[in-house]
Amino acid sequence: MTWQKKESLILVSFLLILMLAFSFSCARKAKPVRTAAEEPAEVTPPEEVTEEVKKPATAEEWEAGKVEKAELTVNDYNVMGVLKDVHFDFDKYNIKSQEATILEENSRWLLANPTVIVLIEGHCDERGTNQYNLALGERRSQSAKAYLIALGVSPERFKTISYGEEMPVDPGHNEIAWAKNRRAHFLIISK
Amino acid sequence: MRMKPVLIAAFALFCWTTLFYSQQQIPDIRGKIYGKGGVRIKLALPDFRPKESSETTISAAQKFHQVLWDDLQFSGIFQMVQREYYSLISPFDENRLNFEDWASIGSEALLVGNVSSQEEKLVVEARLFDVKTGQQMIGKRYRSDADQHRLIAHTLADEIVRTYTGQKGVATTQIVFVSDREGSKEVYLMDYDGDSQRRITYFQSINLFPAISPDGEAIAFTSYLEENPDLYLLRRHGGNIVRLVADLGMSTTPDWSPDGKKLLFTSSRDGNAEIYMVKADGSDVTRLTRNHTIDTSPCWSPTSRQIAFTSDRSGSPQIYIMDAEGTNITRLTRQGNYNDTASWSPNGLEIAYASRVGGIFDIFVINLTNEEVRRLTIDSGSNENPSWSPDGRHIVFSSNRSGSYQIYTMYPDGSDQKRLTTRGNNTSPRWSRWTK
Repeated sequence: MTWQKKESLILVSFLLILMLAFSFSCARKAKPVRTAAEEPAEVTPPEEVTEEVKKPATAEEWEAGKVEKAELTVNDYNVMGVLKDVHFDFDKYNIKSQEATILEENSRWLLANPTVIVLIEGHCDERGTNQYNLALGERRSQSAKAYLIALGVSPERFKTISYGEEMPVDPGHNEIAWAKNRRAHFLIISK
Repeated sequence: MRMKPVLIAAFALFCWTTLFYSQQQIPDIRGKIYGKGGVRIKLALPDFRPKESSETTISAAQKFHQVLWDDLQFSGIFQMVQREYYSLISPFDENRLNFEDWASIGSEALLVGNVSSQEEKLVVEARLFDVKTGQQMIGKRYRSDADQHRLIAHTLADEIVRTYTGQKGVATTQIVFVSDREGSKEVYLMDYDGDSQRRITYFQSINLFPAISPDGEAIAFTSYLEENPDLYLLRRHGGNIVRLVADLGMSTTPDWSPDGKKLLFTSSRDGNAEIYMVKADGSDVTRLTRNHTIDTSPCWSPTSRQIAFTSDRSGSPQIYIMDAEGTNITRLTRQGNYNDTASWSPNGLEIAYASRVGGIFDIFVINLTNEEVRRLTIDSGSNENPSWSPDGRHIVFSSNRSGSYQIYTMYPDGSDQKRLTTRGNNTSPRWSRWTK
């Protein structure tokens, strides 16, 4: 770096600091009241930038489901949680009656989206052995699958996996965490 | 994995001579269980003399002595005569031993020796004496690479245990386990005493239930490497990873047959967790259980005639025993409403398992002859996954008593619980068998 360049840099930074200090002191002052004598500052027009502006989806498109189908990815579905978890009692893998409504909702969505393929994950709380919990998680995923099949969803649309106690949704060591962790989770893997 | 050829080279152990060996003088302590109240031989182990005054030799002699001391103490058959008494014996000359002096401080056995460096090798000479008769029971010279003082100490310790029990000690054995210390649950291996902990898998995935083959050449385990819990086999040489069983539901909890030719495992390939057998090359999968409930955690008996496993066919997980063909299924455990992870003792007489008490587990042992149950752990967190040492004198298990899961060993009466790991969570330990 030459001396002149350095010098000019110092000058520029000095000016900048000055400007900042000035604007800061202005900001601290009471709100300036615009008087008629004040000339409005000249405004330079913005540089020309082309920005794609998307046309909002029309009601017709929504109705036809075109936008939803075309725009939402598998990941979007999963983040939105279109399919809800079902929860189980301690050491159990049967579907509880209060959880059945969740599976009914899930089945309705699946029947309305007939190409979606789902991986049903079975999970357990930490209070069993890893060995038995893997088998228990498997049973939970199978229970959920059987229930959805009984509600008319085709069996080929499901895969199952057990994670036992390996992937808790809540890492806590209390009844609230355990209740959340005893679950079948529905992961959409393709649509 | 790459260590093996080096180790073989290093392990060019040179057995020198057995000068005198007297069978009658050896106290018969075979077949006993060693715990708090066990019979112990009082062994004196003075420092091994460095033959040269070089710093390397002096330091090697000290390190060697410490490892040997710990090995013999751990073995469960010796009571080490305390070091401070040794100074009462003077002058101590390893070549002119005054056995009366050693007897006077309560020793029944005396182990003396020296350490030297020869052509960049470490050489250890050791002699074991029966103090009462002055007879030499072991006379050995070991030679190995300069940094192998631990290996020589372990080898000598196992030999000394063999002299008294007719069966090698466990100082050269290893423990395979799962650790999340570097993120994902990966397979690790360590020496029996917790030394030389090293990572075996780099799958960045969930890896569970490692089991080391009887010849120590392969580790079978469950991995989610391909997004499904499948059974894998990792071989020591070449490092090839073989997916033994894949894509058919889950494949978990492998257990090697005593001859190393087959594995038992749990699979849901037919829709429900059942016990299966597979050859070590992945062929000939045979189904052994047929039941609509969960069957898991199979474990071979030491004779391979029977199999212990867990089933919830009675309503809760309990341990059952069946013949190796899957016939004659009988329920073993009747206490506790959640029993799992059976480990069959090497003498075939007992089964260790984890039983749930409240929300946590404790280790129990059931005697197969009279079905008596003894509790090994209590009021110390959750204690899980027991696995016997090959000599049946120790049990390794995992416990979260410290706030995280760590691996511990204990005698089969629950005494002398000793922690082996510190970093991360360490679970699912399996003790290796003796390699030939």
